Amino acid sequence: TANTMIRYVSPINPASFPSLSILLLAIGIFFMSWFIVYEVTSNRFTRNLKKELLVSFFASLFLGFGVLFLVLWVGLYV
Amino acid sequence: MIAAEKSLAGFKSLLVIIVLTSCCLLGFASRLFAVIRFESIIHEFDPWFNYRATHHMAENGFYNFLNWFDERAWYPLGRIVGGTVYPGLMITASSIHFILNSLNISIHIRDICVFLAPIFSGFTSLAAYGLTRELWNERAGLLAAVMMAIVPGYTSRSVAGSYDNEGIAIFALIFTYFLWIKSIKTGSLFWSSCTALSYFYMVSAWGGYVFIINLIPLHVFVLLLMGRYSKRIYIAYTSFFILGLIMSMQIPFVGFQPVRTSEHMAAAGVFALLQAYSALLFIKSNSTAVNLGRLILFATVGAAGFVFLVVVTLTYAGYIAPWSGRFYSLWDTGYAKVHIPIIASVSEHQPTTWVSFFFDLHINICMFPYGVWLLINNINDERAFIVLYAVSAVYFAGVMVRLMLTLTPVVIILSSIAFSTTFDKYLYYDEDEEEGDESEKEKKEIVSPRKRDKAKQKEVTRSKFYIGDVGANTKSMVVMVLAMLLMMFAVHSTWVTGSAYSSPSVVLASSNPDGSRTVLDDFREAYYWLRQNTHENARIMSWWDYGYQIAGMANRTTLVDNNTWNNSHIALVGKAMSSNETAAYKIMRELDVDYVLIIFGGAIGYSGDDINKFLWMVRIAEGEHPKEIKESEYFTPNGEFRVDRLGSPTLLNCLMYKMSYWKFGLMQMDFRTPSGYDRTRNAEIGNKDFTLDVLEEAYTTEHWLVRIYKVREPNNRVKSLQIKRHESGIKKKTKYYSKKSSKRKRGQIKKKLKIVKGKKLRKSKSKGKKKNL
Repeated sequence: TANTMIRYVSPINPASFPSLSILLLAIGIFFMSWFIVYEVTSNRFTRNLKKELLVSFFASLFLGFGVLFLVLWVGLYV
Repeated sequence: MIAAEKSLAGFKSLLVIIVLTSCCLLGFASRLFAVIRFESIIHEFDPWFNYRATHHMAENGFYNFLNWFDERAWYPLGRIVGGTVYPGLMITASSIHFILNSLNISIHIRDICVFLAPIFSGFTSLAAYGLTRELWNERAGLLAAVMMAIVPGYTSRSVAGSYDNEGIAIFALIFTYFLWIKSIKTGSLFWSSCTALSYFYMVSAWGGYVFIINLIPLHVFVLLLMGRYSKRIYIAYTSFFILGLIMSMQIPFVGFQPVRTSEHMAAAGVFALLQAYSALLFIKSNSTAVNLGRLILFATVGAAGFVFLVVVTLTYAGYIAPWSGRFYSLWDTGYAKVHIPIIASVSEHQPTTWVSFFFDLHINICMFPYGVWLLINNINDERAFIVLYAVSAVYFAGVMVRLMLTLTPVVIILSSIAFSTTFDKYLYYDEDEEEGDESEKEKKEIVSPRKRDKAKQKEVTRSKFYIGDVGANTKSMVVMVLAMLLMMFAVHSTWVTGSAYSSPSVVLASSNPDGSRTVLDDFREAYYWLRQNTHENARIMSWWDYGYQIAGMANRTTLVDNNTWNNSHIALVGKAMSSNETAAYKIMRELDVDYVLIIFGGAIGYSGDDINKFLWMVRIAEGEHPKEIKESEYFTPNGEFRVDRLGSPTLLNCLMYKMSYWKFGLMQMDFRTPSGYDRTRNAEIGNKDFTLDVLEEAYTTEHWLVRIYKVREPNNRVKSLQIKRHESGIKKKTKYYSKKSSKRKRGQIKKKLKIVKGKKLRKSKSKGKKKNL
């Protein structure tokens, strides 16, 4: 019934959505640029798989969360 | 040293990626004015049909769309939509809708349609970058990408809401040209096949694909004339032509046209010529005779002449259709006005004014000739193509305003080349510093005196672009001026996009004296009235401009719409609008019309209404029914078109006049002007009290913009056409003369007494008579 349901409260304060999204996106873009430059300036012999995986992991992590908070900030409560 | 260069190259690529991403975002953002001001709605007229077709495809699937026969348009004829439409736009929007919905991102098809053109504008900037980079260098490419994203000539047809073929067709055009340049440069089958695939997409998207299929053969032909034949050209053109031909014939609307119409014959002719030329060169390479050059030349010219003669003969024999009216009127500009008034009446088909060139292209139209000169000076195979594109596009843009759109990409590309070269010269490094680096590098590799290196460097730098020593002051001034010009271009483009090209046309907006905006939503008001207050199968008669909107928003059957494929049907509607009530009623009953819709701007001063378009209705009707409708009858004896007392009686009694001004004579907007003052024509109307016998007013919108009339049913009891005897005027027979002779008079009393009341009975000579009282 409607009486027993409690209102949903977000675990993260919605007032912090803007700053969180900008911060996480900025870090994510930094890692992404690092990855792009690394790929462009390396050839078959100088490429290091561990470095690639590490940088891309952090890039996708930060970009992913950044996009999530961006979407929440805009008003699409996914 | 090497590491520094490498990281420099890395940062350069990063910069390129950042700039290109920003171009996509910029292109998207600069087209959103209409959505922010009003709402996410489809604009204008044509996009409503495209939206309705896409909606049908999204609901019913691809094959039901290809086989769709629309009986709610062009009543009673119907329209075969699958075979008369370029499906590329609908397929693109529906596939994006399908992919997103299968990922459970449920975006409504209307929003996808509205935002499709801005998304594709981002792709167009990327294609412009690629094309310019192939032609010149990467720096010019970046500048071309930025300018392509905002240039008004392109945004005019691709704002959010303008869901029309050009939105994706320009992307397909530039991308096809980019792939063609790549295939000419590399001569590889891969790139030629990609070109053919992109050409297939272009054929499915827009009727302007004829431009590609004529420009590429022209390019090959000009290369042959310039003596630049090579195996790369042969491979590129042959594979592109064959694959492109087969793929283009898969579109139902195109069908067999590529082998049967004159517009496509140039491609086939060049194909044949190329085969002949390469065959002759092959013979030459395998023969031992020395002086074959002249023979080759004559044989080639002979082959070309033979191919041309074959095409001309086939055209005369009727196997190949001559140039269709739309394309022929580009050559002979007076043709359409006389023979096809419908083409002449569209405002987009008028010749371009000088103002439009600057309005749509700003500084680029001025730098464009410099770019052409640069390319001609440094000619090679691919630059010849762009020069040909530039020359033909300039001609076509001068003939028809609508074709400014095809001129815009080439002007942007060439002017970006011009700007980039100028910046190269004036942003050049200080020569001493540059030489120092070069000579140090040389020292490491080659052991040679420094002086000789310096001399070599000086010779190398004295390339064609060397302009002599200019001081640092001049350099910075020139760079600043050019940068300011580019900034003014950006400001101008945004202003033009915002103020001139972002109006939805379905919703009108005007500003009040105090600066606030009044929104006139009359069109949608009328269409929704129709949707909610008329029966499902009601048939609406209106002028063809509004057909698509009525079908899209009101969801009712229309008689004629913007497709204008049937001139006689439109002429019938025109005749109904321009005749008097009785004649018009006959036509309307024949066509089963239930409601008539007109646009009237006299109450607010809207100048795009049906009375202003009326002369075109008369002209088109006169084209088909010259005996009943004569254009001169609607003008005053002086030759003016007037709606006031001095107007011609034919005009003042025609159906369109009566429908527009019904009850308008009673309306006085302003105490200074008389009642019935038409604010668009600035005249007081001439015929104020008249009756409408065959129509009755159904709905008029708030600002009198749209007026809907219902066609009256015929009377239940019709006065009999047989005249009664006492009205007929035929003289009655006063006496009855029997034809029976005295012998045959059976049933007749012989010698019957004639009794006349009030008179004494006269005795007759015969006996045995009784007096009957």
